Amino acid sequence: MSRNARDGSITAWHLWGSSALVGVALMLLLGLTLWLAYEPLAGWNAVASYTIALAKALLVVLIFMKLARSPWLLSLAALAGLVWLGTLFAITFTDYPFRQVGERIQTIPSERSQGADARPPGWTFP
Amino acid sequence: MTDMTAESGLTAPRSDTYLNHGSTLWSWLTTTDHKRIALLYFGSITLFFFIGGAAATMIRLELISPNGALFTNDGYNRLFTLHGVIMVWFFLVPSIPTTFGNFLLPLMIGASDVAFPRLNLFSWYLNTVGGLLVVACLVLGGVDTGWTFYTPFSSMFSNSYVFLAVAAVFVVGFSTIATGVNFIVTVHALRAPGMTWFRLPLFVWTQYATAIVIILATPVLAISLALIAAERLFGLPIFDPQHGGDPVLFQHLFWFYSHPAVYIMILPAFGVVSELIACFSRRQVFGYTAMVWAILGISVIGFFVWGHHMFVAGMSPFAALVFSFLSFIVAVPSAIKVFNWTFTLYRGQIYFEAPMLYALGFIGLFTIGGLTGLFTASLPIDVHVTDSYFVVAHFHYVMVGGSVSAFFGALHFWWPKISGRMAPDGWARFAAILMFFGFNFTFFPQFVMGYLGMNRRYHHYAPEFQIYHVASSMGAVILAAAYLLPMGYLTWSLFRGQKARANPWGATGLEWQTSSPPPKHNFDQRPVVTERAYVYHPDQESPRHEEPNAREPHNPQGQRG
Amino acid sequence: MSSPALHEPFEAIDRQRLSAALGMWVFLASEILFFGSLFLGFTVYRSLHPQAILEAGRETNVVFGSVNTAILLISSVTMAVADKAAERGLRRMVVGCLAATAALGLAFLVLKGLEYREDIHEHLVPGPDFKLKTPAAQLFFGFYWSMTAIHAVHLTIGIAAVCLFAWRVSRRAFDFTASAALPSLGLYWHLVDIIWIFLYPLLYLGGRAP
Repeated sequence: MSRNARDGSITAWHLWGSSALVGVALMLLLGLTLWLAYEPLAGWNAVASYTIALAKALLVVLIFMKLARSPWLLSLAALAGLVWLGTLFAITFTDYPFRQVGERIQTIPSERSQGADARPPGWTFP
Repeated sequence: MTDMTAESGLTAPRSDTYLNHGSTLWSWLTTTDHKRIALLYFGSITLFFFIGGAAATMIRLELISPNGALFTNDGYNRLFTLHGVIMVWFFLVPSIPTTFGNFLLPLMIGASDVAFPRLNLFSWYLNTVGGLLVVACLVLGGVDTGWTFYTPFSSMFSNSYVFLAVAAVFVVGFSTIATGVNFIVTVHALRAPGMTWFRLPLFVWTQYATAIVIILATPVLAISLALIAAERLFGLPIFDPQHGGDPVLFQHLFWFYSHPAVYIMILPAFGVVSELIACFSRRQVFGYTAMVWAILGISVIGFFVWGHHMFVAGMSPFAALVFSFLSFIVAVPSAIKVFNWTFTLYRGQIYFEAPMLYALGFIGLFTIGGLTGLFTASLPIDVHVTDSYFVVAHFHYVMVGGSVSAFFGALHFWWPKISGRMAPDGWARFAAILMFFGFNFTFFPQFVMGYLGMNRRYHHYAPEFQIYHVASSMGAVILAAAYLLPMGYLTWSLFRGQKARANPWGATGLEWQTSSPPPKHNFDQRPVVTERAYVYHPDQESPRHEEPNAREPHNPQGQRG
Repeated sequence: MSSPALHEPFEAIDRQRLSAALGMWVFLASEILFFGSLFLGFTVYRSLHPQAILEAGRETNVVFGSVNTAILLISSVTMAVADKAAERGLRRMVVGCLAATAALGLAFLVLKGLEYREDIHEHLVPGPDFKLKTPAAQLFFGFYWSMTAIHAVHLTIGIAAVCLFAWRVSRRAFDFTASAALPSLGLYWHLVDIIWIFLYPLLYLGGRAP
């Protein structure tokens, strides 16, 4: 009986150990991103948020979804999705930053002068 | 193992084909056999082809007179929208993949079914649900937005059944995604022993590439349509210019799907034509490897060109330049394919049987459609011809002249395999030639009037265009006859046609290794592949002359069992 | 040695399992584009109206968002453990972990519903009596409602599938060790989690810093 129980506990560790560790890491990252979101980082808040989101996603993909231990074919499918999404973003952004004056998005003039969105609509180069 | 008695064994009529394996309606509606699902899809697609065709007939009837005599403005809007929505999503996109792809893909790679047979059946039911939604939309009164559902008209102003139409397209999109998943996994996992990637018939390659495009493009359409529904039903401002939203963003998302959708329609046709040209000129496909890379190239580069639909929509000039350049690039692999088909014909032993006539017609019509595509891809000309009948003629040359010709070519080529009967070749040739002439008669005048300034989507027009419209409508009558004829003689052949041998055309390819029609599990013994595709003649030798009724069987791609 | 989980057209269970995983990954690639195009729309508007989007982003309830993120992350842990337990044939552990996963998913939906109620109460539904005056702020909430709703639909499908599998495993209705169904369901569940991982900074963390 005791031997069985010990086997059971070993199995439980094998079952829970690494997954729980990843879970703890995910929780720490969640705490970190929440904290950083309220810190004045002078415009780097978004970068921090999405870098942490990427780290969390990688943990889930590589360990929970077992991509690190799977045949390359599965990674290829995932990569295809990401590469095509990247293409969608990249080519769409050949449009918006390069619009001419008449092609930029305008909101209704009366509301535009209310102050909150007083900067000229459309993209401005840094 | 490859004794000659095996061929005669396959020729003898058998009672355990997929067709007579269960004959109740229930056995058809619950089947997971890819061949039966292909036939279910044949039913749906034929139905929608005729609904869409009826709309086209009414459009051509209306346009005979420049005064818009038959329909109200609103009625005409609903008519061409119906024609577009049904032809694009319920006929062209699913046409070749769900019918011939479903039927042939497992046969060609030596598998007993697709990877997920139940998912396959599920996709047909999804397609049916989408079909019911679109029919409901039609019965209730239709949509007037054009098949492109451009915002803000579709989301804020249209008083028609936009939501039903959008829901129908959304559902049918998931049906094609299911088919795409199935095809990709099938090609990866279920190829017969010895069937390496570069031994695959080109038809299989095109189905694979099409599946990739379906998987990666359709979800973006689904989202853009869902956002329209959100804006329409719940008033969420997504593309609303009053709140700083951008209607052009909808066009980006829509065309990210709808331009690759053109390749969903034409890539399978490329595959069909490659099979037909090789078989009926008894030649190895010229430049097989280049063909494969061209197929994959088209499926990838085809994603990067969507903006050429939006040159006048208020996009940035830089984006227009990028899209114009990329659109020229995508012409290169398409041209490689056309040249390779032509070189395949060179010094071949050409048989002008019906499938070949359709294939040759395809090459001519697709070339015209493709070259006029280059006109519209170049910015200065496109600004002139945007939204004119020039564009209408261009895409009908590609989709109807190209895809539909290939569909009918495939239908005649694989009809013996599907039904076990030969189609009457005389009638079939007549229909093929009639279709070629009827098509050009219908759509060539549209190039001219479009270039001269006839706008699309108008039913009132300047009287000087009437001559072109009348010519186009007369051609449409011939075209309609050419589409109806096969219905008659193919049905006749089901009962009276000559019984087909296993390999009536003397073609290579594993699908000809099994009986016509095939048994439920496709092959009595799993085939083993020992050579590449299309070995119609030894290397470095021209094909020999063969009498039409004594073509060599060419022991397709290896050993039987 | 053929398992009852093996079915046509496959001849070996390993190949069938690999195919199911590949099929699910291909579908997930499709899902990446599905949600990705929503992210694209958001990014475009964020670049066009940076101030208005950040101003609107401050209106979401970060407590609900963070707690829900934590819940979904934990549910991914229990799902991963269910998958491992299935590989070892531990039936009760599988059922227990799946039940926990489904319960966490339900908790997420309940919290989301409470959050929606609060949002409606605070006039955060785009329309004439919207809380903020800047027109483009409504764009943010257009995306907030569509993205969270589409995510919730995905999660609901996931919960239903998890419950179904838990029930079938507990009834010993199928060979869950050999079947590819559970790992595939796991992949789907984790993807829904990943979508939320990116929605969280997008909808809840923007514009919080002083």
